[in-house]
Amino acid sequence: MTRRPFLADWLNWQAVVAFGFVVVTGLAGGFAGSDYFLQIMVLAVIYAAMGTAWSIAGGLSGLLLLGYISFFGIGAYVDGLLFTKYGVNPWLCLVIGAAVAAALAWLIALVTLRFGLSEDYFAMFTVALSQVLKYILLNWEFAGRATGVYLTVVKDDFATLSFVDRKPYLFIALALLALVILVNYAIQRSRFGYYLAAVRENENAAEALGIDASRAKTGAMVVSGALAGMIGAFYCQFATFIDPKQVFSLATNFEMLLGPVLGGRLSIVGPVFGAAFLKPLQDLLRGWLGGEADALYLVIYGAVLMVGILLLPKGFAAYVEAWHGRRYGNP
Amino acid sequence: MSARAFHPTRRRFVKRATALAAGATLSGPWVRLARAQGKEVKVGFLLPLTGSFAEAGQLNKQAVEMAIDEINRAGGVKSLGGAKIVPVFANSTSVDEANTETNRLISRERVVGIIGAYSSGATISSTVIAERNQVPYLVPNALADEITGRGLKFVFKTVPHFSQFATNSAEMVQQLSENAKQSLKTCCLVRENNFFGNVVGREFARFMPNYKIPILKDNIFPTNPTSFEDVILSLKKDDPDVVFAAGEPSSITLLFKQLSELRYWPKLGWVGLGGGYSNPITWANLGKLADGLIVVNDWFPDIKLAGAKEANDRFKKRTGKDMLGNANTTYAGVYIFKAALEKAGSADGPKIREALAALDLVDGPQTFMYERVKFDQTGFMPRSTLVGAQVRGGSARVVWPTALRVADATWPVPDWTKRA
Amino acid sequence: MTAELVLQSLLLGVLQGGVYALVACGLTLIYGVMRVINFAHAEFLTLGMYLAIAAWTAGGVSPYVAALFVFAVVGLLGAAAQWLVIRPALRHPQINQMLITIGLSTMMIGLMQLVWGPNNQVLNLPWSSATFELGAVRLTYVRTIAFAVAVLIAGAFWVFLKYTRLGMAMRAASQNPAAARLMGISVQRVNLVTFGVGTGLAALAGTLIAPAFFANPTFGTDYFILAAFVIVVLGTMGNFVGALIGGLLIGIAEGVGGLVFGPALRQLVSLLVFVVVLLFLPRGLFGGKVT
Repeated sequence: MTRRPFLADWLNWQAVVAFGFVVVTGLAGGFAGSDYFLQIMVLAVIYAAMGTAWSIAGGLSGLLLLGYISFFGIGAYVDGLLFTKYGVNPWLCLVIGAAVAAALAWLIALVTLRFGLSEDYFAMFTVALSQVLKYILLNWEFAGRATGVYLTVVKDDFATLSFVDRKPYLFIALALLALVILVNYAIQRSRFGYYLAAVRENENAAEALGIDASRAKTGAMVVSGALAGMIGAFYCQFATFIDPKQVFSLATNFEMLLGPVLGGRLSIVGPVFGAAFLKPLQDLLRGWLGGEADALYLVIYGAVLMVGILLLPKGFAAYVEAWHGRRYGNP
Repeated sequence: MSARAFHPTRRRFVKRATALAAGATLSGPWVRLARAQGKEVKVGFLLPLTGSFAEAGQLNKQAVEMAIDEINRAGGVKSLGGAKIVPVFANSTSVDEANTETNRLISRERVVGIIGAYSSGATISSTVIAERNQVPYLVPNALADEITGRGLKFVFKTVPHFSQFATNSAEMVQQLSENAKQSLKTCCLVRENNFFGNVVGREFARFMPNYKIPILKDNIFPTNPTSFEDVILSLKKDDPDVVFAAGEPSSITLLFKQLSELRYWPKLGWVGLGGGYSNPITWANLGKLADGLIVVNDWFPDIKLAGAKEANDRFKKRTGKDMLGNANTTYAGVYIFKAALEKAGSADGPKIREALAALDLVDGPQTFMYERVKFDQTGFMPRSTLVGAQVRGGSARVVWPTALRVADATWPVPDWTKRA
Repeated sequence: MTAELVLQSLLLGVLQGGVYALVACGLTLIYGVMRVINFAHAEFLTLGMYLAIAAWTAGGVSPYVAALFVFAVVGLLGAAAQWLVIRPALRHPQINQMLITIGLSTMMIGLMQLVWGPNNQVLNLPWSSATFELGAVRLTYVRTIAFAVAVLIAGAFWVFLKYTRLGMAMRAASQNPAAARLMGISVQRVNLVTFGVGTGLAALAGTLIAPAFFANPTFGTDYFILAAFVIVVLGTMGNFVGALIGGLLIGIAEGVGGLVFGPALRQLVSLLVFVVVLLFLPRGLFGGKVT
């Protein structure tokens, strides 16, 4: 009996391609790369990581987790405040940020599931919560209120995740992306992944089969939240300046969801390549149209968005998957 | 089987990755273009050209264009062979965008210097990028003290520290009240919950006790409120002699409408601090509601300084607006940078930086604003004093300090019922 | 904290609430019939303001006269948008629909900025700031009229929904599209009309408040959208009366909340009210989905 080739499995293939992307991007950024492109690339990788992390709760689990930036912002502030006020090592802050965000996610899951918030209400609840966090931080003296938190980095210091050069940030961002891809892959391969899929497809049927839907959904949210918190903490070190309006921005929130939606939120390649394509496109388009033509940029961007979503309702990953099926002769 | 597994059919991602790599490579270090090529020298300008500060950003842009036109018509930068200055504008509406654009200005556009970025947050983060690329960065339009307080060598700031808004405002109201033989005992703050507002609150809390003007209440309002009645009712209750306020044009427009609707006015007067209060578009939108408003800023066209009126007239002729809202400081900033270029005689970052650090200008076009241009070791240019002007009929005339005033202040400012 | 202050805050909150209600009504209507959360709703309000200002500065037409015209124009634009970008997505996942409306919002903001520029524009009626006294409270005519007209229109619309054929068709389509189709109702046409009317109502609210505020491309998003969503959910999504009552409640919450907790926390108060209510009443104040 012959075993199927490793790559004939859609999930395996995706993982290889996604990790391949990580490697190639690392090489591209490492060998060449002006600071301008590095800056764009790091942001693209951050968005890719956020999108892939969101897909766990928003794609695999089918939760309408619309207000995702809450976790990102919390992670950013955890790093910003712990580092600048208490000198906590930023590498450690990546973990603490993840933990705090995970706690928040668990709380939200607990509360919304207990009180039975259904889909659309759940979505609006998460959106409102992100703004509640924004307003709390805007008014919190310790967090700098509207002046935010800033870091001054004038020399490279690996120990404190502070770099003058953009390249190390790219490598670390890629490492985080690789971690997120790994987690997503591992979940999809595991029994937990099957539970999530079952709950997504038909919650009642899943429950009838003995799956604890609440537990599954909570788990998905906690994982997604934790990853976002970690990425947010990294973002603070990268941007060196954060304020509430920036890291809890609804505009940014929706931008981060574009990758998985246009890419295909049930896949891994979808969010990764979706963000890798869209975010640089956005930055380059804005740079190309010139600083003052931002209005035109908004019109084009909005139009492209609508057309893209209408033409790719399941994301482009659906087409890739179909091609993959034909290519590897899958039934 | 393994040969098949690694069959190069992953065209899509290879293509995309190659594109990324190619793009990155093309602007790599071995494709360096000379910075001041031929008769041109590029200078980057970071401004909020869109978003909530777009009005100010666009006004600053016009000021830059006017300065550059004048410089180029007068022969450009002589020590660089008459090279013309070419402005490269970039948007600094958000911190991320400012960072990305700063990188673009430095890596792709190869600017010899950057001037910007209006919003303190964007300036704080983008100056770090300029610092490590050794590109001089002149800040003529962002106020945060932190900009020059971090030991960065390539950053220079011409606008005052926040603390001066507190100290000068206090001195001004004390003197105005003395002259009018009015008693000044208390004040209240009304400020927006944004960067500028927060720092104003901090500085006023720090300095008002020194001047023995206790702050009865620090009223903070959120950005984009639909109504101010809570602030106004609180002011009515506290009944201060003077109100010190900071905010953006949108909030001020609404606030003043409601002030007149709810019929509240402080006993002596309302003092607006910089920002939206010094924006003539705000005064125009408010119409008669702005009459009597006192604004504290670094300069006004109607001031007793040589060249002030002429510079403003030129600007007004060109754009139809007064040179305010930092358009003046940015305009002066371009000239200051040009002076540094002349002095350096080179397009090399560190050399221009040295020139900026060594500048000591007492004449030149920027004297319409600055009697002396000299930066201290932190890159900050100390100013003797801010000025206060009173708005009437859509324009402001300087009323304080005495040396620079062109009109007498109406103080106390009559309340709504007593106005025409 | 005198009684006068509280009363003043309360009444101003009510006035603001009326306008919020009109905006929210349109939003909830669209959700009720099409199950689409229209993230571009605020842009239609802004568009209404711009058109009112244009009518005033170009032809001296008072916003109250132009209101009907603005309602029709924006309503038609809204319907066109529905036909072009929302209708094709109705079969697709909800998150797709949401992001499409966000794309629409972005595009509209860009278009308004292209046409009218980023600067604030005002509509200064000669009596824009005129006030009258109601006991110890002082109110402006503009805001009072805005409130009165908003409530009237919302009320009229409620009657329309309940008693006219088109209104009943809308309600049928919102309760059970399949059954409605079987009854011969063109759900597609109902969707079109609903979106047009919903966005038209937002534009109408825009003309009413134009003299009291100012217009810029992001005005709607900055000042109204969050409150509108809070109200729609609070009043139970799809529930017209709920939106009306929710609007008043949130207006009052913001006004009084600002007085009690300080102005900086106004928006936080309404958001917290929202969060807390949802936790205890997960389907909003009015439970199920009843029009």
